[in-house]
Amino acid sequence: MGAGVAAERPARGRSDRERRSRNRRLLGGAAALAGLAALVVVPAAYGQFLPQRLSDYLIFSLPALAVGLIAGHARLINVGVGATFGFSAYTVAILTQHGVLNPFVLMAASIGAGIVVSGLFAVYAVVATGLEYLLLTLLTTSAFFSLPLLFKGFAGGENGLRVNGAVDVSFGLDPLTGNGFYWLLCGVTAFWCALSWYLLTSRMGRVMVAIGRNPERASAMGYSVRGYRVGVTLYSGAIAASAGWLYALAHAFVFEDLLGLPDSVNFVLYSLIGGVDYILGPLMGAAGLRYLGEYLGQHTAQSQFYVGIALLVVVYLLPAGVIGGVRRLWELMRRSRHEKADQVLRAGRRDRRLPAGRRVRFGRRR
Amino acid sequence: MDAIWVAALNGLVVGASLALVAAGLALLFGVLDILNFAQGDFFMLGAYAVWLILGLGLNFWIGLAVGVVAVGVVGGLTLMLLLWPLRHRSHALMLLATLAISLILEQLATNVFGADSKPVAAPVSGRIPIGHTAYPVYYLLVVAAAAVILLGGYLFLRYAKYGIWLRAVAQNHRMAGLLGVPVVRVYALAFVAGSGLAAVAGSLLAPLTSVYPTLGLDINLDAFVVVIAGGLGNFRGAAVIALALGIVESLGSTWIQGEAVRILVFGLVIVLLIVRAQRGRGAVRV
Repeated sequence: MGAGVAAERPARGRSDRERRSRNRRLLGGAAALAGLAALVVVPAAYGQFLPQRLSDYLIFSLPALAVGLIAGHARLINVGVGATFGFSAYTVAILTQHGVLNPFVLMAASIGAGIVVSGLFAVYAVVATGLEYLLLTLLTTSAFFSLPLLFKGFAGGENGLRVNGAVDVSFGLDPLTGNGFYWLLCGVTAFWCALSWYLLTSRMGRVMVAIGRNPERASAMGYSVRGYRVGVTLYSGAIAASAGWLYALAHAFVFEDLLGLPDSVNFVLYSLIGGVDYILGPLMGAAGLRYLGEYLGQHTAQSQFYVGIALLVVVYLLPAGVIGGVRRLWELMRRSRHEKADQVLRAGRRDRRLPAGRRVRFGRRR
Repeated sequence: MDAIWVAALNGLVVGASLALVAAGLALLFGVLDILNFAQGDFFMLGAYAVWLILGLGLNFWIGLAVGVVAVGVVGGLTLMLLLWPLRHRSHALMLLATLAISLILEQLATNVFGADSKPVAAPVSGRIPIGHTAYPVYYLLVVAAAAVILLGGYLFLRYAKYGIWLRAVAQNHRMAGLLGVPVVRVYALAFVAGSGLAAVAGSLLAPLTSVYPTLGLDINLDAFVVVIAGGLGNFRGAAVIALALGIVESLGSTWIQGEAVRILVFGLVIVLLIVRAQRGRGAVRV
């Protein structure tokens, strides 16, 4: 009898945990859907300005998400995502200059070109880790920056390159009038976020998390660390490439800075500030830092100084990013609430002199 | 033929100053595993120090000495204060912190000195003939000064007590601490020497480039390339590669497009780094 009860207890505990986890997932899903609905509906109701501004945030949040996935789940800091982003944008511009105006062909070619570039980073992920990987990606994006200058006739050199074809190349959606293009951006961003969330919660994603935490142990357990790293690099390359494609459509113009180091470093900053361990972290980091830069640029000539200070605040006070910091604060508050409740109960027991065998367990349940 | 000699000499001048910046970067990397994004800004502050001192009517060389000491000590101690608490954290946080320092220093320089470019007169104005070209003596002086400083640094690391301690701390700081090496003082020395070397380069190159707040950005990437190609943390390697890079870029640009030379250099360094990554990385070497 006793053995039966003992056997039942863990099963009930497990089902409780599963129920709580399912509830949390449902709550998270509902919150994500509500957030997406707000993103789609609310800005569009405020005229043309807000959707256009948010369009830029969404475009730049995608490469940040790409960096976040590599940094958070393969523990590789890639400062070369700008090369993937810019190369895809240039692909759109070059193809339209040569008369290719089919939006589907442009989308496929642009994302394909980005994946080819990220193949280079995948090779680096196989041969190097840590600082060496970071330096290899830094050198690569610096080399890509020189390409438009080298092929001036083809890529426009310092003058940049126009995207021909007006709204035909963007499925008939004009980025400057109406909300159609903004909704396309919302759709693409939601698609990548949902796919990333699905992949990270799958078995494959859990292996990635394990590799990120301890690659030696994951390798000893029989997982192909290199294979998974190549996979996440190519996947994040596709995300960055789609951002390059959207950038070219939204701005109808590309220039050499898109490929360079400053943009790449910005993507790393967005993801680290938001929090690389969460899908929403890089998105929030991109939106927050870009808004901060724009706001400070309008109100003060000291924007660089304040951005530097903000970076130092994140480095010292929020090393896991803003979302990581909020989550840690939440956990601390919850723990302190439980400890207070514990103290109250203990004090109550002392007053009423409860027998030791009838202690009520409260809080810190696992 | 004259053009080739002049291009080679120009490359030597650029390489020599790059060697100074990169040597400081290599030192910091070797001792602390820090890739300092603010190194170029110490280069810029060294150049501003010379411009300021010249504005006060004092000698160029006094400006150089004051600049090196001020930027070395203040910059080094600032780095020490800001980066010391992060020494056990990830590389990404260290990079972010040095990037933040770089942004702040650039903005402060713009506020104090303005965004415009400031010319600095060379202390030596003579020229020597190279074929049909009159080559500025000061350019050669820059090469000679850099050679002396780098040789001094090499001998310091090899034979001086603190130089040996620096190498010991870079190899194994725990063991060095147990053997009585003052580890904190050695770290501080590495920060001060790293910043000071960048300031020397900035001061020496000020008459060639003129001075502006983003001056350091231009040299930072080249310094990174040099440190990577020379072997991360390798003082002598960084100096040799800097000279080679300066000469190759300058000579190469006389035959093919400058961008093609850069892409070629980046490609070579990438291959070199991949080979090195396969063999593992060492600490500070001289």
